[in-house]
Amino acid sequence: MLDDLRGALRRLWKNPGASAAAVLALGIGIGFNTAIYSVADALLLRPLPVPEIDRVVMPAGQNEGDPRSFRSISPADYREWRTSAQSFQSLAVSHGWSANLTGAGDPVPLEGSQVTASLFDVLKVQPLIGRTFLAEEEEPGKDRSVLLSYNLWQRQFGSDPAILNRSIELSGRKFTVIGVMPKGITFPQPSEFWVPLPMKSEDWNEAGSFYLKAVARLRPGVTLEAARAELQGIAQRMTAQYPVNHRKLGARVESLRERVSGDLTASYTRVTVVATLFLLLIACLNVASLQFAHVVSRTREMAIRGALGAPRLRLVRQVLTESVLVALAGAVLGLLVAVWSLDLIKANMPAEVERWLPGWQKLGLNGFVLACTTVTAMAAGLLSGLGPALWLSRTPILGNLHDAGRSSTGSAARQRLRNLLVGGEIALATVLLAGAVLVVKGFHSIGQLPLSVDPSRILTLRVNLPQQRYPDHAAVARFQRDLLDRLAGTPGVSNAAVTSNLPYSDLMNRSYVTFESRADDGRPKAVAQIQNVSGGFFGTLGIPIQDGRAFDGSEADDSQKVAIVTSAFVHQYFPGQNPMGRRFHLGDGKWWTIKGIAGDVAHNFTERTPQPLVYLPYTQSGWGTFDLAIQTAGEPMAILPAVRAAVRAIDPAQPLALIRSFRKLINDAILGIGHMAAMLTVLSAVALFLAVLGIYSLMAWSVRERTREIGVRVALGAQRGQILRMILKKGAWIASLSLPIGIAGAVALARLLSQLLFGVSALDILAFIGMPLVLALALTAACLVPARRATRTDPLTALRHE
Amino acid sequence: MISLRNIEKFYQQGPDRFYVLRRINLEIKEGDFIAVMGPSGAGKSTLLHVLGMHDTSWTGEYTLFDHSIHRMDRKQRLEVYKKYFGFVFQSYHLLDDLTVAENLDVPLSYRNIKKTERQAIVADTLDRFQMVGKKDLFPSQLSGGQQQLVGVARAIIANPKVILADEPTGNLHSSQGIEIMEMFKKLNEGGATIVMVTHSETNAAYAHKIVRIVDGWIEGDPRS
Repeated sequence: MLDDLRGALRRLWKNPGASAAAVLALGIGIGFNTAIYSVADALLLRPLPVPEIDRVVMPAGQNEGDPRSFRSISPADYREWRTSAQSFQSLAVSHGWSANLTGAGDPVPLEGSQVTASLFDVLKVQPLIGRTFLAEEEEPGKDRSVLLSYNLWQRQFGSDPAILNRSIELSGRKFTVIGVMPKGITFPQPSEFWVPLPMKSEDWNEAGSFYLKAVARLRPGVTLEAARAELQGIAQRMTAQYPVNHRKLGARVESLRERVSGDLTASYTRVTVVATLFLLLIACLNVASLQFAHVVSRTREMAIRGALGAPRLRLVRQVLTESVLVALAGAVLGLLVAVWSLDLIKANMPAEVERWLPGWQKLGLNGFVLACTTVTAMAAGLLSGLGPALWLSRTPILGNLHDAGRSSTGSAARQRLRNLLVGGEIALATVLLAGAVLVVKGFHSIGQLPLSVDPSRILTLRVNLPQQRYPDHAAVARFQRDLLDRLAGTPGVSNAAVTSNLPYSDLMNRSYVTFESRADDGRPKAVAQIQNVSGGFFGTLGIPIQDGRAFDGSEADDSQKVAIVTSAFVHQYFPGQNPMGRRFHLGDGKWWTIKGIAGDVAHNFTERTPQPLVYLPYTQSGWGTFDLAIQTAGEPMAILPAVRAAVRAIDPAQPLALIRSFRKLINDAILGIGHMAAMLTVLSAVALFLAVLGIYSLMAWSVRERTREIGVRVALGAQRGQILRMILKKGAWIASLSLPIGIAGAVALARLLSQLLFGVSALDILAFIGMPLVLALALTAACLVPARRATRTDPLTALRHE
Repeated sequence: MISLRNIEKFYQQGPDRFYVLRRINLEIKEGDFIAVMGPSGAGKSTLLHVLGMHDTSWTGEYTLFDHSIHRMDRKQRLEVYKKYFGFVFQSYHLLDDLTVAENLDVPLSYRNIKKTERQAIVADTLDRFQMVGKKDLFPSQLSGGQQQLVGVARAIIANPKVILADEPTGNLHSSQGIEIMEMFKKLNEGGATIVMVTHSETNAAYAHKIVRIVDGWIEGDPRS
């Protein structure tokens, strides 16, 4: 083996040009693979540094007939699961809390969680310093302990080792720091701090409020299916016990790892992994094709070795040692490509999105990724070298010894094989190019909302009013009204509105809808998204009011409660009827009267069709966490100081969060597919380059091998145009066979992508016709260079050796 | 030692067969030194490659000691070849990328011999052929005669019983040719059986027996 290695090194050193080209091609392919392995490792395989993560699950409620629903649970569910469920070794619940860190300079908005003390037992995670919660800290009044995330400790407290027992203020309430969690622990995402969930024992009987997220550790040996079956049984008992609140409510249990990574992240990562493997395959074909071009120079050596008694396997091993060596050198180069790619990926990830991605903080090269890279490099080496190795191992001894290695035996077959390899490259590049176009167009399509106002002219930000200072809806509404009044007179502000959540933002409120005078016909309960807005919301975002009127601000808490519903709501719940004046309630007994119909707008890019939505006036309902949308005449960020001043004038301790234009908010929401689109664009550009390089080297080699033939033709009177056509015909022949195969692959890929990814169309002329056309033009240009060289063949030089 | 019975080899050319060896019958005893002679294209080298099992598409019976070569598959023949044969080529066929010592090591490396043992054998052979000073040179740095000397050393390094030589002096000056032939003589005296294809009557004079081939037939064979 060492001899093979030494020989391989010597041979590669002797052909620096060819070796460098092969190392470069494989290095690029392996590098992108390494980068995407790192992403997959960080986001999918090890999103949380939790021991035995496969045993950690997220139990949740599930609406009957809606397998995608993943509902929060009620305190009564938790109590019941805790006492009855045998599948769980430990169980915990949490509730998100957006708080403001105050009392130390400017207020800082933070995302945190109120958790049961058992959370860190479930996760089996110990704090970096300090301790976790004690069971008695769940009692109201004893709940003033706080655990900090590593990032918050680092960012806000300068990694102060003396942080323990320090008092901090969260939304005006004092808490004592009892510990700091290790890096990477941000569960439930995106927690920057944890405080106890204060509950009196009777609070756990509440069965009508579904606001808790559960997490559990399965007992050893218990499967997900067994846990699901058990919770389903308990859900049936709960339905019998609470027929109103738990009607048609089942239960589900999902793996924590899959749940925190999310379906979309998994889909994006898988698609990108496949794309990078495609690129690597193209690189392998390229290198194999290059090696076939050099096969002729090695036939003599192989014949001699065969004559000296070399078994075929040894010959194969020798050639494969070379190609694996090239691939390993490629892997070293690939690591540089990977580091560069990861730096680029990380630099383009906004902090607002990053905090929702568990594992992102650990994104980088590690032992596991390096092992994957090594395996990939070896596989790439074997793949690119196997064809030439098998070919060379079959070198006939006799002919090649007699002809002193200048045998032309197998030249036609070799030519066919190279045609096949380059054709394969072109077909794969076509698929990759078409895939990139589909994803890029998909990204643009889901980023377009049917609004009559340019999203880049809208400033958005989030306000989180602390409950201590704003204890009821009236206090919140007063703040909102005051703020809107102040903004109305601000220069540069065209329109302003408050809303419980903006389209594509991370907040969403869904509720069952019960219609007046409509009997329960056994169908699934009506569900709608609920959004509290001020009257200016429709004008600020450019959403049309199709019937009735928008809220005008006169809707008082004690007057008739009014609502505006969307077209999709009407289409689904009042087909062929006039909904105006009809009434419904949302489970709290308050009757809302429909006073208007608004146009549809997607609230989440995963919606394939518009979902029913109810707008309620902010003056009649709403809560302290809300978004502000301000339509501006010019650059949105220019009016930020005025907005800050307006807020400070009302409440100096109130911070603002998530400040960005509405366009950026939309782009951040679809950043995953955006990243994937960017990655695929780069990959397809490299694939295009490799395919062009492949056909160029094939044609150049072909022209070189046919120099004598071309010389004879020229000597016999062939015109330059005829020689040009003769050479181009071959390139055209390869392209005309491989492009349709690539297009067929692209059509199949488009179908798959349209099911996997939102916004991607299965039918796209640009992808299926435009990109192959671009590729065909690039290939023609690549063929033209050697073809023109062929036309300049001097018959005297070409035939000199005759 | 070697017995060839009715060995035939032909190329199919359309409906016709073009024979390069016809009904070859040949007995070779241990210690023989045989020169195969004949005009170009007569089938001399083909016969040598049949003997060396580089050529496998022939018919007839080929026995080596108690091995029926004609009944063996490719792998079995390779094992027999490695055990009994060494080959010397007209064009030397040294591997350009390897040094003299590495070229000598190549046949040993295909015979599952340990590295340390191989190094000792190579050192002995270099010494025997007085090439110690040239062990790190590449073939391109040697004269034709020196290259062929390495070729012969490589052929005998695995201690074969039979040396097959295909016009071993064909590319050499006469003085260099004599040096090689003297080496063959010494090897033959040491017990090696030698079958050598040659055009040279001078070289043939070193042999104990001359087999002449014309148009694929062994001359003098009563059946030709």
